[in-house]
Amino acid sequence: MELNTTEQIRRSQVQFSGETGQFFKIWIVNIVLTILTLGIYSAWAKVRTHRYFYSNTSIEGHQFTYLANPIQILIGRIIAVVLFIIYMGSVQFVPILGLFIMLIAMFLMPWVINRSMRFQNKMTSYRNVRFGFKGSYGEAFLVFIILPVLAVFTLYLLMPWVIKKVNEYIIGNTTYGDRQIETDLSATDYYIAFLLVVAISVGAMFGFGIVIGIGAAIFGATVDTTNLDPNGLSAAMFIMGPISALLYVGMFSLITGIYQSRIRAHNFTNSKIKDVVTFESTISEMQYTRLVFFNLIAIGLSLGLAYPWAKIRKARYLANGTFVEIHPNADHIIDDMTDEKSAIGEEIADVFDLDIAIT
Amino acid sequence: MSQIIDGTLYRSGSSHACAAQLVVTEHHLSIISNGTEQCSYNLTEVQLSDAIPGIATEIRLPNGDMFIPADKNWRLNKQTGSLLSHLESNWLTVFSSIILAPALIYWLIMVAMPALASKSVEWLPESIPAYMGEQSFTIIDEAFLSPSTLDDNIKNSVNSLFDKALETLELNIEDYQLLIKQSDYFGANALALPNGTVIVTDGLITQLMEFEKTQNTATFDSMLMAIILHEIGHVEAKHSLRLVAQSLSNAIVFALLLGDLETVGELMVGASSAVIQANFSRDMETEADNFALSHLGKLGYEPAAFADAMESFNEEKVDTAESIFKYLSSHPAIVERIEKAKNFNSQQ
Repeated sequence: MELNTTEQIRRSQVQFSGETGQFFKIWIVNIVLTILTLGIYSAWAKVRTHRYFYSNTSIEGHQFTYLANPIQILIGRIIAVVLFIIYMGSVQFVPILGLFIMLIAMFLMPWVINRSMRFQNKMTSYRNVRFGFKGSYGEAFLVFIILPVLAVFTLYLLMPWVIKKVNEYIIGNTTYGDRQIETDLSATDYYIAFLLVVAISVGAMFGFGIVIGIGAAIFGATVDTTNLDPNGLSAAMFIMGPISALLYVGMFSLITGIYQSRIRAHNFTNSKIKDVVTFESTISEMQYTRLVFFNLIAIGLSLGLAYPWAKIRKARYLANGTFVEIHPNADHIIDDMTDEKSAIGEEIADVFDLDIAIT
Repeated sequence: MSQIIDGTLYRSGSSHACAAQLVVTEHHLSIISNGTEQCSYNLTEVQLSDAIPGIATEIRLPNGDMFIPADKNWRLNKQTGSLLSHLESNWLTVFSSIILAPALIYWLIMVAMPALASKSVEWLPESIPAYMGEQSFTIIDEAFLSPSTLDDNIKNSVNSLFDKALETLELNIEDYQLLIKQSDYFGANALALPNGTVIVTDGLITQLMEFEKTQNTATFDSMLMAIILHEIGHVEAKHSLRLVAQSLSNAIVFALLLGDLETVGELMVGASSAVIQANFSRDMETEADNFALSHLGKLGYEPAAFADAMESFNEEKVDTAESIFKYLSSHPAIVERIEKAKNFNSQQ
């Protein structure tokens, strides 16, 4: 097995080898253990699930590795639950306190986001080299607080540009070993994606209007406002409910499919690690819409039992829709975090395992 | 006995990778690459990742190198996580989990959490419901209430009814306060705040007075007393606190269990928690009804007074829906409540 002798750029598809049956078993057993241990096991469940997905994802035969320790995550969750109880309690009992907490949270949020990005990235390694995150508080405060507020004052006209800035911040501060990702995104593509989303939403509103109109026409005869017939009304609910739910899921899938595949493709094409790797996303808008749609329908109809099937299917589709071009230099990345290895367990600040997603 | 395992060796500190073999004997482990032994360790020195079905064991060596076997199913004896891995690959445990999971979730949300919530409410200091009551009164008063426009004699008679109830039930007068207010928003209604403030609207008083005229059995006093007792029942059982505690604990349960569900999952969770919440509040209304029914006798009224009071609502609001709406409603259907009050009478 000769791995790194060729001195040429290699194009490679990301592979995913997870299996529905196998993951279903892990998932359902994890749920039961989580309940039986009153939630404590949820930290182990999270690590096992993440490891299942990371380790089953590979490029050129090398798998990704998830390194988080369940104890770290457990501590993080305990802190989160305590903060949540304090927050909910104080808001319920002393509503005015909510305002102060919001204010504090506003200043804390950029720090928390940076911490959790750092945690997520540091817990990910490929070929025994860790990812990292270099974002600073000032920059995070700008993209997560100041710019969104600015966008509100421009009636959200700036929003696509702000989202672009957020994604640039997250991607551009990601490191792999001693290398940093370079990214240069264009606002135009974000505006196009947003316009499409708005167009679809408006179209769907008309759709809803028509369905409700038809519903009113059919059932209006049986529903008299002065003498409400509950049976007529519930019959209307039984028929119109699923139709509007289906419409809603359809609209949601279409928006997700179009927006995510476009933004993903744009982000991938315009990000690279110089002389190491370039990315390409080949996700198709309609295929991805269909995938999201049937995933949601299956999860809904099976009362959640189809969740593992949906998750595996999505992971496989996204992996296979990702191509990388690897420069020979990729075999000589230096992991600049080896020295920190021993300190990781003690870093209490690294407990934030919030999931911040970019698309 | 030694085993030789093919795999990949990832060097410490760089992305360099090469094909290698792992040789495991009873107590030792060594790595061979390019035909020569690279290093050898005691088994206690190396770190193995927890066993998870379908993914390869990661072997971390003391020098920072990592070895991943080509065979995903290769496991070392006594590897941690083996028991979990076994549970996760055994169809028997999986099938029992499929049955256990919904049953446990149901038990947790419908039995364990409400019990925990009402227990924990007992431990809260008195100042919390007092403060909560003041806060919510300020908001309600600002937004929905205006001074009563009723005659002073009517107000006095309502007040003396309230005092009589407190006295007969041996409740501390300091803990309770009756307010009569005009409110377009609430219409004919009564509400109880956690600090013992009971608000009765002008609308309710006039409605009961009107109703008295059309009936020959029901008296204004008995009907109003039934409603006052219902509200006192809410305060005595600390219902608002229990509701807060339950919504809190449910949010945590849902977050922990289903934390990484995606949008539709979250929508379903949101919808079902709203249904559960309405369910709890219905149970609490029933509890308050029972409180009123069982104490009416002490004050010299028939439990049927409660049925009369409910019937005074029945004419204006249609609440007969025996349909799916039942599960979405925060109050039990009025007809059910009337039936119950009448039957309560015959049970005595």
